[in-house]
Amino acid sequence: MNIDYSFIVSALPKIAAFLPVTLKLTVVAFAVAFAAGLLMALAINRRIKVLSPLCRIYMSLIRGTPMLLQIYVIYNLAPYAAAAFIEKAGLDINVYDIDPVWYAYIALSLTASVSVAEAVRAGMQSVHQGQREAGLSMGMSESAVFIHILFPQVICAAMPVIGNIVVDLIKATSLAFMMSVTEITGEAKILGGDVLRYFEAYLCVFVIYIVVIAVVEKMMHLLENRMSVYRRGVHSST
Amino acid sequence: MLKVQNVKKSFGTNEVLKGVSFEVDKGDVVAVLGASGSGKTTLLRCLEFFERADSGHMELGDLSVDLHVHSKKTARQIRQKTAFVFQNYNLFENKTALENISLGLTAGHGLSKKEAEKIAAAALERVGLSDRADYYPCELSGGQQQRIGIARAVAVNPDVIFFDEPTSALDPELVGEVLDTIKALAKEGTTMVIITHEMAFARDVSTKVIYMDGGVIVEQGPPDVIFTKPREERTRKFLARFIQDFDYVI
Repeated sequence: MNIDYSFIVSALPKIAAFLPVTLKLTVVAFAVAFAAGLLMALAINRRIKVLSPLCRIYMSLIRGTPMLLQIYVIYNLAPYAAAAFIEKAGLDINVYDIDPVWYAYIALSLTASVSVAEAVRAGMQSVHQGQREAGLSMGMSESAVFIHILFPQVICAAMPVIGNIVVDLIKATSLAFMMSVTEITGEAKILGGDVLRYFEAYLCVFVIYIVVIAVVEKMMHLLENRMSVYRRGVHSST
Repeated sequence: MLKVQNVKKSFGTNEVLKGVSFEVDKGDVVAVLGASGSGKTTLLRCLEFFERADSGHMELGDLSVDLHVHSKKTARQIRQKTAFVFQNYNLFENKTALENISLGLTAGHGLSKKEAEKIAAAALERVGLSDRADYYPCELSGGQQQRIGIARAVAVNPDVIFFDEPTSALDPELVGEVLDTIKALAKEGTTMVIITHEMAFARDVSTKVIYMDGGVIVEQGPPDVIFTKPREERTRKFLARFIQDFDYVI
């Protein structure tokens, strides 16, 4: 097998130039998924009527279907839904002008939101009920108790899983090319296809993913350590 | 000052409280005695709105509240005038000793951070743990944690402090330091309702003793009466089991 090293050298920076797209997809999808997952976990945890069973149905639905299929469905149906909405709202937007990246955000955040909801729910179960009661007994409101006491502990407990979710999400962004959003994998495919040097092009993305994920894992690990200081303590005497 | 009337509470078919009434005056130290399952803890939990009583009424200062039907707002008003010391301390795990005390003052009582820290530092000093201000609960012994739990309760200057078996989860050698802390509070005239199995302690510090059994108050009165000449047979039997304990403690 002959490997075209000069192609790798020229392609790597071109592919890496699309790294911001990959990262943007990850960050936005994670932000959406985190907010949605947190709300779902809260709804289920507090057994809120109607909302709680709806969340469960949504979660089974997303968990029970392949992401690729979800992407097909969204990419083919979402424009119709958007067109209907635009017409009803009387907006002056051409549905074909909508950047497909928006569909990618939706598709990627679906699975991640379910994972976040499960991680947060497990985190909630790990926090002792007495923590809440102690907060309430001090005259704090339910929301103050949640913000100051429960949330930090829940997130700390969920951190290892959340780290995995972020890593999964980074890798899942490669599917955005299915929705004609060009990120690093998409660009590698385009460059490789031009000169039929797929292997070299994919080797480039391979390396980029490994490096990016190694960096993100390190960051998540540092964050996790920082957040869990209270579990280890700061004094070596004990 | 605190008036509790006819508290009833069932869990399923298990009737835990069958109409409990008692009163606490300012400066009273009320010891609540009784075997496990007699409803002591459930009673205090109803008064702090951790459990919703099936019926009952509570008056605290100028606040009057139905223990079954109440708004979140009234529950919070009562909680702001009371404090609770838990059997397993329940210090906020993600907060340092000082923060554990100051958080109730800022988030619970609307004090500024600066004021809260000043009061918290004074409360820590009161329980002799100033040197542990920046320690997290996981770094402290059970006795130290419970003393901070007490400091946290005292700091909000409540009308009454409820203690739910404050020494039951402690190693025997750590019980003394916690009891001493509570004794000091009693000397200063802090109003307290204390569920305890420490009979010598109860006899020592209380101004009033309540003996509960089977979800009712069997007998209540001053400690010298209850401990020396109880009227009820049930009280006598219960106390007889602890007589030997006195010899060890005193």
